[in-house]
Amino acid sequence: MSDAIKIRNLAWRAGRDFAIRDLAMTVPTGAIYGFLGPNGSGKTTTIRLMLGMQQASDGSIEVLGHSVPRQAHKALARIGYVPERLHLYQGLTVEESVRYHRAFFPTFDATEAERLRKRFGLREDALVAKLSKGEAGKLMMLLALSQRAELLVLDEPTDGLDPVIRREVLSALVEYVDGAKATVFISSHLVHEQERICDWIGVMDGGRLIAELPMQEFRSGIKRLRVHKAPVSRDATPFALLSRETPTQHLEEWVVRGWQPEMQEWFARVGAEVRDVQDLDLEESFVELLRGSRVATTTETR
Amino acid sequence: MFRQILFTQFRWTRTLLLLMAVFTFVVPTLSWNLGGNVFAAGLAPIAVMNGFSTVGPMLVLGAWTLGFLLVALPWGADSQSRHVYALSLPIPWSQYVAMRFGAGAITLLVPTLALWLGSWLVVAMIDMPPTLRAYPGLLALRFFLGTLLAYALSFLLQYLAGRRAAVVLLVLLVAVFGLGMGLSLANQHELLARITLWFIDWPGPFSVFASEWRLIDV
Repeated sequence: MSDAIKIRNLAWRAGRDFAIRDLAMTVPTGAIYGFLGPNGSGKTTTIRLMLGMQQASDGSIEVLGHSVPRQAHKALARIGYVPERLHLYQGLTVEESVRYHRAFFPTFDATEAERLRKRFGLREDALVAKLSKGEAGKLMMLLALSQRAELLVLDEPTDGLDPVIRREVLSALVEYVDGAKATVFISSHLVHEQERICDWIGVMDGGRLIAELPMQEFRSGIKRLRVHKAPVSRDATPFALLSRETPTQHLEEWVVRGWQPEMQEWFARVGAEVRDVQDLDLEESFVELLRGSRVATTTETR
Repeated sequence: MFRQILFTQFRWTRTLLLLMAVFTFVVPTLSWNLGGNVFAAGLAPIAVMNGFSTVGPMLVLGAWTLGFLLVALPWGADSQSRHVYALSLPIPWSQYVAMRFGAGAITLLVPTLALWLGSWLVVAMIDMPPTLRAYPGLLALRFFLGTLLAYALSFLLQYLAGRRAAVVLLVLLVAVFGLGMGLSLANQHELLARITLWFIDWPGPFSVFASEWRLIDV
């Protein structure tokens, strides 16, 4: 299977405070890829680099087989993009916005746009500037879905929307993906939302991609272990140790990634014992992953 | 594609265009007033000529104002979203910019046409002697070229310098002022005069603004 998005060694810097470093990312064709990360972690910047709106200082980006930014306009013709903030012209009406958008995208389906407009309850003559946040979100989604795009890039598409509108928008998205077999790249910090719809997860923090794996692996691979007589050294573990805490004198809590039941043998070899293995939900996994990454970064910089 | 760009250009600047169309239509008719022959049957061409020499500079000012605002308004609409919409369209940025420029240039025809109509109306009211000739078409063409020049300069500055346009403009003005001061202090007036003439004499870039704008001439 080919990849819809392939990024290698990407670097970008904004002043002294923030940089994207050595970013590598692969989004398989047909995947629903959840791009998770806290606010300010570099998700939007990565998307902008991916779409050729900003220029990287190093590395390569390939989107739908087109090299970006050189052939960004060719890639963009096949991409439906919903940015995090309203990007449409405020002085136009809904109908005029649809007409404007349609003129640029050869695959735009006007019948589908009309169907979605009615479904989302958007008035044709409503001015974009007068739309509520939810209505504006629906309009942007309407335009992206009506393009019949092969790749949807959605940057926090449901952020700030009420649960009813969020559900409406997400169900339209899922319907589209089912029908069109499109690839979806969806950025969000709403972990539960990603858990429901995504089959791949990438986690970004501090300008670095700290994890990229299938959702199933993400769900089942991060565990909390209660370890008796835990070894002092953290070297040579067969899993990635994200964090360790000592709630009681003889018992430690370890959060590990890449856990397999047969790894219990390793503890036996070092004279420890695993008393309990707990599953973490996605949000807990996400938080632990970030914590582990930040501890590692702090240790590296010392 | 271009039709939609033109549509948005018109949507953002329609009030400005309407105001400028009224302005350019009214300016030639003001020359009646200033010539002292309001509503008189058979206007005196000399009076209109005199009147026009007073109102003509208003057209120059109008051309610069229109040229500047015609760029600033669409730029403002695009920069509301930090140009995200324009940049996410599947066309190269250069093509987008070229279409925006073309659309703005086309809308210049609205006040130009109004000026031509206003001038034509004034000329139609005059009993023109054989020694004088009226140039409503040429005046309108001159206004169009002047506005186009102001628009092009403003466009170039805005789209090349973006948000830094005001700073770049200020630096340019300081540089020009500094150069002028430096030259005059060095007592090299001849060089300064040559530079100025290069700009304002035909085919210099600002020659369209150089001499007096006239509706009636010999």
